[in-house]
Amino acid sequence: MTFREASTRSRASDGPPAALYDRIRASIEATPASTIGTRTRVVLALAAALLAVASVLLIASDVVYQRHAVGLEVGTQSIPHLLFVLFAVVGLTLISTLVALTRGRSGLGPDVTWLALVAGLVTPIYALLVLENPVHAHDSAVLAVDISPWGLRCAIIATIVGTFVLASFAIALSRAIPAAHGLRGAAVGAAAGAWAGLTVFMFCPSSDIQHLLVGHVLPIVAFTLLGSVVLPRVLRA
Amino acid sequence: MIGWNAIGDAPDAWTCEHRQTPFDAQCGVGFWRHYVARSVTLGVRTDTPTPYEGDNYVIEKHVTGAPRRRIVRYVLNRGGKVTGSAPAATCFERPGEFEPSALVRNTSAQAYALPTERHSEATVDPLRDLMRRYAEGDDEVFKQLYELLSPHLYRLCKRLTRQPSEADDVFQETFLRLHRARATYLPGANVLHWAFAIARSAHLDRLRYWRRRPEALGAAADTAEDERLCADQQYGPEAQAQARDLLAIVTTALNKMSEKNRHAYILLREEGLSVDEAAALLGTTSTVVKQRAHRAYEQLRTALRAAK
Repeated sequence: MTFREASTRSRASDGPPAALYDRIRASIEATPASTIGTRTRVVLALAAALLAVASVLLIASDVVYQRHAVGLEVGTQSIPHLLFVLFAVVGLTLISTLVALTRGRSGLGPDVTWLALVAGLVTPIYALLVLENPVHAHDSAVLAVDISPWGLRCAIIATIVGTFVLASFAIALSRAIPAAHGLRGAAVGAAAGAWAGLTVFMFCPSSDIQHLLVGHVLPIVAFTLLGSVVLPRVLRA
Repeated sequence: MIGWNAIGDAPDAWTCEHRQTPFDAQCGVGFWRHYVARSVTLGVRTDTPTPYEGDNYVIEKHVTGAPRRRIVRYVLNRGGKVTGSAPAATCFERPGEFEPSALVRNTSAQAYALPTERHSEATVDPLRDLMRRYAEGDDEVFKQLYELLSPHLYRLCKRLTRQPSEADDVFQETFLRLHRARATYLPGANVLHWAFAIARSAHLDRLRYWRRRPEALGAAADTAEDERLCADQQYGPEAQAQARDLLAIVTTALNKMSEKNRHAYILLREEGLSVDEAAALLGTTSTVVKQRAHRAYEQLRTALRAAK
């Protein structure tokens, strides 16, 4: 008899003990389980992300600058350049969100290559878009409001928005990805960071490189790392 | 040759050769040619007790009477799916479980027509339907779902863990997690693979828990623990003892492997997943899965050679 024959014959008797069923049945009956599908939760999470962005642009911007979405209307050097960067940032946010939230045909998540691309490229692409040729020029009316050279206000807003979006995505995907790992968590974190970056891009009129780096770009890095550490356990069943 | 019968008669004769090189199927793709004019289900009879799942079976068709002799090879991998250019699917069953329903004669060959439904597909479709209903909140189907899932899951749990008691715990935890996550089931997805991923996740979480508490570990696992070989009248006591020794050697080697290599081996060789399916389940790329499985094979070969 060969090993294969022995192994295969031993597998023929591999059923679980009968007593296990009763234990499992009892524990399952005592355990509540949600019946809200992942798709519904993802839609709600996206709605929550949009709500977060709208809140900042309408409420926070009004409080700080007495105007809405100051980053889009004040002190821009070139409208075409502004539109290009805006669409690029929106596209980056949507693509990273799509990759991060999709579960693939098997329900186990997209190919790891896509996750690696999102986790690794969202930050450098965003940095390139906002730092290489800043959209804004100086505007005395807006600069009457104190804009921190370290971007603290933007960092706080990005942190609030990013945390809210990350939590929404985590709840949406909770227990939905049995094979979740650090890379998956990093991709979701990067997507949440992209939403934060989009928000502060539309909120903030600063052109200072240091401000943009600390207040706009660094939060994305932080959320990517946070996602890789915190999320895998949440996403796994 | 392992006792395969030739199918068909001379001058066009089919022979089958059993090969144990799991990655050779993709080599020399240009060599594989689609010969038959229409899709036909090929069948192979065997004198061995059980088909060797997961290995590659090379069926050669020697065509005479043509200007020159042509040899066409179909490589059938796990599940009987023909690779290369031929779309025909096959179903490997034990002798007696199928009968050739008709002789299909095309222009120059003769082969048995078999039921086209694959054994695995017959299992997967009811599972998907049951899981979909369970995900929607129908608790009445749990028993049926359990009966279909439990043999596969329990086998996996036993191979993942090193002790039977641990296997029971991981098995129970898997079903509990599956229950809690049931609403997240993606309709149409392979339920077995999804459940395997949950089982593996449960096992790894337990490993991490016990690694943080090394003082709580009990005695080392008994690696020769599988003693539930069926008594088989065809094999004498000596052959059974030899088989047990073989199994013990392989189990020991598996237990010494890293978790990553061991999981790749178990999923590919014992659970019948394709490389892509295993990669999705493990959350990595196909290349990495192949590397891990290759390392596992090498370790097993070394262990078997040392035992000789």
